Amino acid sequence: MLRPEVALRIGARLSGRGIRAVLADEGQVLARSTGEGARAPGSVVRELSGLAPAPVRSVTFDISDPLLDAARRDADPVSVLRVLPRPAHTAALAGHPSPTLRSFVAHRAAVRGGHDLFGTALAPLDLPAAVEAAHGARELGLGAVAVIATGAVGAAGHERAVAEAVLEAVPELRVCLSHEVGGVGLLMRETAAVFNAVLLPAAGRLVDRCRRAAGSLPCWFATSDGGRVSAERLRALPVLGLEAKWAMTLLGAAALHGHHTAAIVARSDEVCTIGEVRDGLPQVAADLPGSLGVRLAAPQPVLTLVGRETFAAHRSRWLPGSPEIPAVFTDGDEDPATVGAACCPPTAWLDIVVHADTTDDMRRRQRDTEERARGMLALSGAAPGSERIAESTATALSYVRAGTYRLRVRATARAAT
Amino acid sequence: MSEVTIEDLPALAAGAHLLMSGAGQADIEGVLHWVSALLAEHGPVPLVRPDDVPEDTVCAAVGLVGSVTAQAELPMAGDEPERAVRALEARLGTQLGAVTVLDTATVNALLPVAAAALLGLPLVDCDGMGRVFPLIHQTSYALAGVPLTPLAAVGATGDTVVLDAADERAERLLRAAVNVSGGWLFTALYPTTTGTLPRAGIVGAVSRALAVGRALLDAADVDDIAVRLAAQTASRVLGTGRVVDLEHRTRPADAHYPAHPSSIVVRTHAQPVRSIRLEAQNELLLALVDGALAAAVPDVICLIDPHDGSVIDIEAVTVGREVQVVTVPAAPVWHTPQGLALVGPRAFGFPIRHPREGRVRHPGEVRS
Repeated sequence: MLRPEVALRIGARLSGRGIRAVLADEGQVLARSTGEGARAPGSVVRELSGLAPAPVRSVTFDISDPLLDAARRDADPVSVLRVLPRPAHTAALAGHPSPTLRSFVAHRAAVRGGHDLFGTALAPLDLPAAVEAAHGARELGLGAVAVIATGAVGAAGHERAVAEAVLEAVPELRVCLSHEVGGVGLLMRETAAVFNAVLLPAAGRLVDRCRRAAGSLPCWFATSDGGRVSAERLRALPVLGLEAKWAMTLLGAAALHGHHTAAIVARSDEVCTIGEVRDGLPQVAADLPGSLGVRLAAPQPVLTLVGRETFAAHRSRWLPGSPEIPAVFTDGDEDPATVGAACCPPTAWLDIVVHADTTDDMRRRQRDTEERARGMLALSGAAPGSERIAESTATALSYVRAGTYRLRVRATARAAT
Repeated sequence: MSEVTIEDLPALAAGAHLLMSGAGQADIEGVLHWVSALLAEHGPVPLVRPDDVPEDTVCAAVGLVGSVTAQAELPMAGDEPERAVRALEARLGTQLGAVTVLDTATVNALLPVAAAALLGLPLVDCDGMGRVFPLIHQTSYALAGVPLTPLAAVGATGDTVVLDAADERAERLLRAAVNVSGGWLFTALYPTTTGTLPRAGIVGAVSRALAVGRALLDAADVDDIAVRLAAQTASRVLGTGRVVDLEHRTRPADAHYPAHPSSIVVRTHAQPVRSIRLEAQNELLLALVDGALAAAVPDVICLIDPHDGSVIDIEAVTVGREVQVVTVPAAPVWHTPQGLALVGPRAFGFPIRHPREGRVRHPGEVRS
């Protein structure tokens, strides 16, 4: 039986050559469909739309599996351009500690520039050197460059200036900027920017394919923080969707069991993957190694993997039995990730460093950041007036000037109808 | 005499993480990668006890002063240790024969290994904190009367600072330089001779960090960690639960300390349910269980993820996160009256006595 205010949505998950999808009203699944082959997404969407007893509001695709496949199998290497006051003196510091990340990088350069955490320039930006590096990347036949400036999390001017100069001088080169993903830590932002650069071609193809499949329906893309973004945002920042599968799995499992807050235990043959959903959003963090094993600035679900036997023997260690947090078990047969995609809300995530001299000043900066996050929700199809701040944390950074805070704000909203 | 090898580095990093008492460890992977490459190039670093080398061997403590979060945002160029030590040697008019450690916490457990490898010097198994404290004069070296300066510091911008000043002035002057250098400076300080280290340093600090790290890395689960840590350090678990509140600027701050204070409240799972209030400023400083003082600086208070046994930084704490609160006793020097005067609760603005100073009277308690 449908709710009076029915909100039918299609959630779909692409995997290999196949697609699995559901037509759902919140956690209530009305129909399922699967398909295989190039035309399958369109067929599946049309089939589910045809079965819908009321107009379908939107379709949300989880394309994390094909994105991960693209990263693992057929990714073209990219260039990395760091902006620092001084270049590293050794290869170990000039490169990235992760061999996985290094395998994506065919060209690397460093130019002078960058800011400190308080937004003060540490060195004048050497734009001619940046342009020269871009030419070097292009001469190697590379199609994209990831630009990472120190301090860009608080002052992105040098990254933007490099992007402008490079695009003017080498227009065929695509540029990915680290501050667009955000997060504190040059290496973690470099990971995000490199993944964006590497995945641009695959993301473009996938987004186009999904948009064609969606037809006239509004088309969204599931993200690793448990939300959704527009086609254009995912096309530009594919790293946001890289770990969406588990975010959608947690969300879908909770929705299927009618919970807004729950501990989710997803059981496979040998392993239990444990995560949590709070107030309708999966618990996420911004510095976790994802499926590719590299710590990433973009938020992704906090998961614990434990053997089934160990879990069974020490269940209370992972499920303390809090009455406010019921446990939900899923074996995968329900395909909760597609349900999660059908009901994921618009979200926004900001992770920045600010300086505030007084408590009032800090609260004001926090409120400003929250307003910025609310504003970002509109781009993901939020129903006006439904925005809420799901999480807003200000943490004093250790051993720096008093009044330096890391602000993490997570906002969500009801999807517009 | 022993040595620090590439294989030791993950354990050293893990032990150093726990001994940070909650302070952040943002870019350990980058530093670990670099130090591993240095040891691959230069070979293992000799780790010596102070009496393994002639007592007139000139040495200095080395380490990063400032924020590891800033260092994660602004990585080292790699020549800072050599430049800082050379600048100090030029000021002293003599060469160092060994390096020792400012504090065996955070990247500061690894960077002296890098300095020793780059300079071809032995590393003395000794530090000045046995954990980390926010101010550079909060050391056993200072407590024993070893002058903090002359010191030399080099940052990612390439600037070099050489400083001669009284200990507390040196802290303020260096902190100002840190703030305009991107948030950190690699520093060589407390020049002395190895003959002074048995009375002035916390001897065995590097080995202790390695042992703590091995306890963390070798443990099968969080219960095993508790057993192994207790065996190594006499640590105690104060409780396991969920963070239910996170507040900032919860009390007036001493302007001499970087960062602002904050508080974390944990509600335990086990019956009877307890409330653990953690007071933080840079590090976790106090743990109060249902209002009663359970642990205090200089003892290490840290948070461990009860699911995977990893150490959790204050900066990563969010409401709803599961944590286990653990305390590790500080080095004995910090439990002396002089030690507690320098780094006990009152040094951080708390008008209370450390549990080792005798029974603590709580606010509102009626004198009988």
